[in-house]
Amino acid sequence: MKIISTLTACSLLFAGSLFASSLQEQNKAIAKRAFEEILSKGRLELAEQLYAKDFVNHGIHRNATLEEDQAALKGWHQAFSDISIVPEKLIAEGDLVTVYWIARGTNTGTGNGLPATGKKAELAGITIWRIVDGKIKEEWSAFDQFSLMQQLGLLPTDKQQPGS
Amino acid sequence: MHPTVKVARTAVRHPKCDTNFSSLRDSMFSKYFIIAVFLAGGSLLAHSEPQSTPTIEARNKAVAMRVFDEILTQGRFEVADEIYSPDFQNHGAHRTIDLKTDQDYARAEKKALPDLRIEIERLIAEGDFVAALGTIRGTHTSGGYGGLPPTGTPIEIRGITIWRIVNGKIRDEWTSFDELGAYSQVVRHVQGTVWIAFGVFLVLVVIAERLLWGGCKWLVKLFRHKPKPGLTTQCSRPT
Repeated sequence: MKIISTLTACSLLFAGSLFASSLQEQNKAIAKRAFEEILSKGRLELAEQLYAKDFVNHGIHRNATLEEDQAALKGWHQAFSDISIVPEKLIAEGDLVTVYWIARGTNTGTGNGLPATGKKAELAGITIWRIVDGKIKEEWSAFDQFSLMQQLGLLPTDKQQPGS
Repeated sequence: MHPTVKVARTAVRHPKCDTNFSSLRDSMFSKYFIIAVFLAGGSLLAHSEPQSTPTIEARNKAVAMRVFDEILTQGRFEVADEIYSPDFQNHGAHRTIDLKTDQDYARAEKKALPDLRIEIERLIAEGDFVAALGTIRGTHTSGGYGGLPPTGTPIEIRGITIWRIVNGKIRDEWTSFDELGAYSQVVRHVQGTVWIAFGVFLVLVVIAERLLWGGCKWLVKLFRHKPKPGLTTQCSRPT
C-alpha cells in the first residue's frame, strides 16, 4: 500500500509539474492566437473566444472596456489597411504573459485621429495580459506613439530616443 | 528427470525459505523504494523547473529592482557597471544603443525629473527574461525633454521594460513607454499656464479700463461744472 501511495504521489507530482509549465505554454498560445487572428487580421468575431467579457485594459489615467479596445483596434486597421502585428517575444509567469511586438503598416486611411499620409510605419510595443481560464482578462500596454507620429511626418524628427 | 530436478530445486530452496523470502521482500521493498525515490527525485527535478527557475527568476527580479531603486530613484549611476554587462544593448525598433548612451538617457531623465519615483506594478520573469511594468512620476523642474525649458509639469509615464539577464548582469533591453503622453502632459501644462496668464491679463485690462473710465469721469466732474454727455464718450474712446 505504501508503495502504491508513494507511486501515486510521485505521478501526481509529475502531472502537477507538467501542468504548471503547460499552463504558461497554453497562455502563450492564446496570446499568439490573439495577435495573429484578432490584432493582425482584425477578426473581431473571435474576440468572444479569446477575451473575457469583463476584460479591462488598464490605462495610466483611465481603463478601457473590451468594446473601447476593439473600437481602437478597428481605428488602427482603418488607418493601416495592411497592418501586421507580430509577437516577437513571449515571457510567461503564472497567469501573466508579456508580449514584445512589432507592428508594421502603411497609413493609407484615416483612423484613430490620424490622417491618411500614405507613409509606412514600424512601431514596437509591449503588452502584458493576464489570462484566466483561457481568456484574456486584463491588459497593460505601452508603445511609442511619438515615434509613430514622427514616421508619419506629423511631428518633427529632430529628437531620437532609444525607444524609437 | 524434470519433475525430480524441479523438486530437488525447490527442496534445495525450501530450507532457507524463511530467510530468503524476508530478504527477497526486503530487496523488493528496497527496489520499489529506490524506484520511488528515483521517481520522486525525478518528479521533484521536473517540478523544480518552474520552481527552481523562480530562484534564478527571483535573482533576476532583484537585479531588475536595483535599476529602479539604485539607479533611477537614488541616482547612483556608478552602480551601473555592477548591474549591466559591458556588451549591453538597448534594442529600439529603429536603432540599438550601448550602455553609455543608455545611461546618458537615464541621466537626462533623472536631471529633467529630479524627484523621479517609480512604482513597479508587475514583475514577470521566465528564464533569462524579466519584464517590468511601471509608472514613473516626477516634476519637470530642470531642462531636458527635447530641449524644453523647465515647465514645472507633474509628469506620469507608463512604461514596460524587458531585460535579458545573463549570469546576473543585464545584457539586453527592450523598452516601450508612452513618450507622446508625457509630452502632451507638458504641452497641456504649458497651455494651462498660458491660459491662466491670459486670464490674469484680461482681468488686469478690465480693471485698468474701469480705473481709466472712472478717472475720466472724475476729471470731467472736476473741470466742468455741468458736464456735457458728449465729452464723456469722447474721453472713453482712447481706452
